[in-house]
Amino acid sequence: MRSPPPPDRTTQVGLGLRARRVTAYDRHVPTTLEPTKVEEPDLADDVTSDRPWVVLVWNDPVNLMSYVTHVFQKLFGYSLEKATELMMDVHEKGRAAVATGTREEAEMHVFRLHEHTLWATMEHDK
Amino acid sequence: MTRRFRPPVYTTGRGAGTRWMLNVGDDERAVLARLLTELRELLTSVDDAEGGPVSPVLQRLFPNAYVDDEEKEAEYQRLMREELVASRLFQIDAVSSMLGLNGDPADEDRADSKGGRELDEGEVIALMQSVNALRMVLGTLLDIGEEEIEIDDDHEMAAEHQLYAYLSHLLEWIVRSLQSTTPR
Repeated sequence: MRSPPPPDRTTQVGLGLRARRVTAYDRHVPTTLEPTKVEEPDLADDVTSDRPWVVLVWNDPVNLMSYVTHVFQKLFGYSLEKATELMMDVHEKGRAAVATGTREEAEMHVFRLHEHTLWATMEHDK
Repeated sequence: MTRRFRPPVYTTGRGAGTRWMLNVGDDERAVLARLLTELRELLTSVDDAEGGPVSPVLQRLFPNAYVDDEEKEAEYQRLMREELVASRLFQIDAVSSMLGLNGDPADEDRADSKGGRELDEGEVIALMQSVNALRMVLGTLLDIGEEEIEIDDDHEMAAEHQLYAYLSHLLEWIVRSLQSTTPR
């Protein structure tokens, strides 16, 4: 049986950037990512592509607790209570999973967290 | 007569009518201008080895996205690093403009009679991100840890620690002002 053709990441990345919710933040985020730069996915990716990616934020001693909470609210639309809970997880447990999604979605979350100077990484859900 | 404390960034009005005011003196503007110039130079400097930036400051400004996949990490950095630099430089430009550092005559129109300046939400966000980037650079250089430490005035880095404390104070007020329009 043939598997379906791999999704065209070129299209996905381009649409991903344009389709996300527009907020005041976007006025300061140039979205000039050139789709031509994006390579086709390698086939090895397909084996694991069903598993979501998890975005992790790691503890660091510089970012203020109020700031981290605010960023979680703004970027992910979390309530103050939920954002505070995640911030406390980062602070006390050293890290917290703040979002999950496709590879492209997770990369965009990581990028926006990096814009806010939060220490974020992504990995496959285990 | 008591003088009412006015934070460095504060809001007036509510909801859609919310306006932000920037209230920093000339000395603070000059310090922020100097720091932003240094940050701009730092962001456009490259000290990369094979695995990315070498200096702890640049590593912190450009963290890895993938910790255990070198290939994906290289691809991510190739695509996103320039974006991150461009985004940060855009914010620095916005902040420089709001601090009146670009000599733009239009900025004069937005100054109020008390020397403050009206900001829109996007400008406040640019200020927040730039101030936090400055804190990250200084905090990394000063090796700030979880424990608060007492710094004497004769400490060789006392001035830098004061600067760090000022930026933290500024950021705290910026976040507080933005929280007023953030759904709870």
